[in-house]
Amino acid sequence: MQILLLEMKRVVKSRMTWIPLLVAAALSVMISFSVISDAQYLSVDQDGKAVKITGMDAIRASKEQARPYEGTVTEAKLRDALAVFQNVSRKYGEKIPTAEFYNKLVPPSYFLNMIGTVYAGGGEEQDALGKVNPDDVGGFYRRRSEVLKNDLEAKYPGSQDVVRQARKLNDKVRTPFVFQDGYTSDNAANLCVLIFLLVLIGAAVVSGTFAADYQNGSDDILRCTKNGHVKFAVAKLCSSVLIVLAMFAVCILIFVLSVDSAYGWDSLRTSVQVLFPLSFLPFTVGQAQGATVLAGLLTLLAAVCFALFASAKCRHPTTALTIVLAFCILPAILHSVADGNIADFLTCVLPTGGAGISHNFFNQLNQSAFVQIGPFRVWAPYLTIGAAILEIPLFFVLSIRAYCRHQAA
Amino acid sequence: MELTLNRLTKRYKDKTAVDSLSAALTPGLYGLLGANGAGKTTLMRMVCGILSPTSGNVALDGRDTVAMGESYRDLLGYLPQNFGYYPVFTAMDYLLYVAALKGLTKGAAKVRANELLETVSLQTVAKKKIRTFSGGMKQRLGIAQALLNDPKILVLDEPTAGLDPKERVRFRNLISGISKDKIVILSTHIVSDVEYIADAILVMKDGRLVHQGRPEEITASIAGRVWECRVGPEETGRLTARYTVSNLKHEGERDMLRIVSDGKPCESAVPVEPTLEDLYLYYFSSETDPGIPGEEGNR
Ligand SMILES: Nc1ncnc2c1ncn2[C@@H]1O[C@H](COP(=O)(O)OP(=O)(O)O)[C@@H](O)[C@H]1O
Ligand SMILES: [Mg+2]
Repeated sequence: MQILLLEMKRVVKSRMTWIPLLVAAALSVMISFSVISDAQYLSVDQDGKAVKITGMDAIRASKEQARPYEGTVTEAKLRDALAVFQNVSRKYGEKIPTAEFYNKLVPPSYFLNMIGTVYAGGGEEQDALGKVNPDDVGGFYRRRSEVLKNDLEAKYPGSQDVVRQARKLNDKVRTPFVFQDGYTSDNAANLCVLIFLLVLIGAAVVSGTFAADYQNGSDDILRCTKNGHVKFAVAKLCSSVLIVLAMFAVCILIFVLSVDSAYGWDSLRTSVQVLFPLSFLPFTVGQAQGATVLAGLLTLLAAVCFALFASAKCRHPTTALTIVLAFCILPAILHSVADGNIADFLTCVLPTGGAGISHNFFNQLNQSAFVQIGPFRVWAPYLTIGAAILEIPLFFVLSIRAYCRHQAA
Repeated sequence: MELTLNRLTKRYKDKTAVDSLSAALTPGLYGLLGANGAGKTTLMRMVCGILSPTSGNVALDGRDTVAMGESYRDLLGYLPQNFGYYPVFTAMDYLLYVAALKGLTKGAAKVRANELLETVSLQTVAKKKIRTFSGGMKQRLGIAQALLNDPKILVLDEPTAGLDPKERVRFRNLISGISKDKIVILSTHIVSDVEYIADAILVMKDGRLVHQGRPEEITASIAGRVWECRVGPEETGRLTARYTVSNLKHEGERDMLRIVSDGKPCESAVPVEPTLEDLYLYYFSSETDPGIPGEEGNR
């Protein structure tokens, strides 16, 4: 315990630690600020000129405009939204005046997207919106479940298991959906960017934990002491993990508190299906955000434990850092250059797999990607989280072993 | 208490650094003497358990020290030849940190650290960053660190490197004062570090112990091989080229030479009593430079 305290004090005092930690805090402030200031609201003034409002004002204006549609997503509201669209397009055809578009079509845009997705039947959403009979929208929720099932059967032919797993989750989805304007999928994407950067910084910071001591020779004295083997290794591991956890907690709190209070806490009640109509995740966007943070935390821990293992194995901190950074960007590279089951599997399973910009976890939660493992198909978010949960203790123990077995040159 | 080294061997790819070395050490101060590259550091690292031997083992009272683990390390104090430190630490921070690892309680650690800082005359810079220390100050801090747990087995690898003559004397007195009921192994390539304080000298060459014994015994082994002669200048040139000359002194027209040689080097030579330095030269005469204080060879 005494060792842990002294070690934490030492690590925090080191420039190699506090500078990256400050950078992380600064990044989270910057990202939060940009997420809020990037909010846009477009409208047209009396002279027919386009007006752009940004930031908090835009968020407020957008909420004001969406008010009639907020609350429970009833089939009546869906029908109204569709009627608005069909009236406008009947009147103007392809050339909808800007003012009409902003005033009439933007407020129900989530509703139109839901109808379009569910009734597209493989075709264009816009076409679907023109053709659907408003009376048919009465069966929206039933129709959505059917479309979901058909899509999965087409995507994973012959795999009843996938359909069954998805149905089980989908049965828990609360209908009718709830809509409160505010939270957008961009907010979640930016949260994922922040998590990715925190994983990168956290893993990089701890990559010197053991290797730097090997390199500068201070390790020789320390490992010759009574508590210099397992106890010291555990103290060093815990100190690294605690410091990185503190960084994560502070940075995520900065982001969530500022962004969610700007966009409105009530908007977290929105069902994820309003954003992703065919998602079978039985969550509100607030819960999905929480799950994303949790998965980010697990990924961070897995990545940090992996980095500590690399550090205990490598003689030079630069080697350890290089390996760690390579592993941090590997999932992103795999995701973009290769596809197919193996790439998907690796992307999920790598210690850094839960953090990425292109394959962000929030999107993964709302998509129906199943990864094949032997005879089983596992929903990608389960695999990502499961792998991290296994890897945390695995790499923790491997690090202790590697440290105790390290042979000074 | 007996520390036994059983056919201890360390082989690197193309080099046997320590070659089937056996010894039995009881409490006392052992001077491990050898040229750079003789294998002193490698041997000491194996004794401390931070390097695994290729074969052989180290045992304390018959128990394998690797198997003893924590209980062996609890008895150990080690000063490596080149050791690192955390630059952000002050001398005091560092000692408290190592003390925690050695299992001292917080209170005991403070008391002991202050005592030792005083012993190695660093009390005035206890609150200064190690980064700002000179080589000699770092070395003294290293010695203090090794003594924190009052070790029963103290391994010091070139502890006097970087110390000035005054500090060397202080260090010698310190070590000879504390070595009573301990096994102290001190490596050096500077004979005078251990000549008068060691209970036994171990002479190491090419990974083997070539000699071991009390300083006077061990010098007796080359009795009759150390000569002194008084010769003219041209003769001096011839002799220094051919023999190992341990001392050369100009006395007016003639030179006084001290020569280490199996046979009589010249007509006028008379045998004299050997010193440890002569012994050292006898064994390492083929090697270059028997050691300049503070010079570092290898690691
Ligand atoms: N890690 C290593 N790899 C290869 N050779 C080594 C290594 N460490 C030491 N040696 C060699 O072993 C020999 C003994 O080295 P060392 O124990 O440091 O000698 P000393 O301390 O007596 O100067 C030297 O020739 C050295 O080059
Ligand atoms: Mg050496």
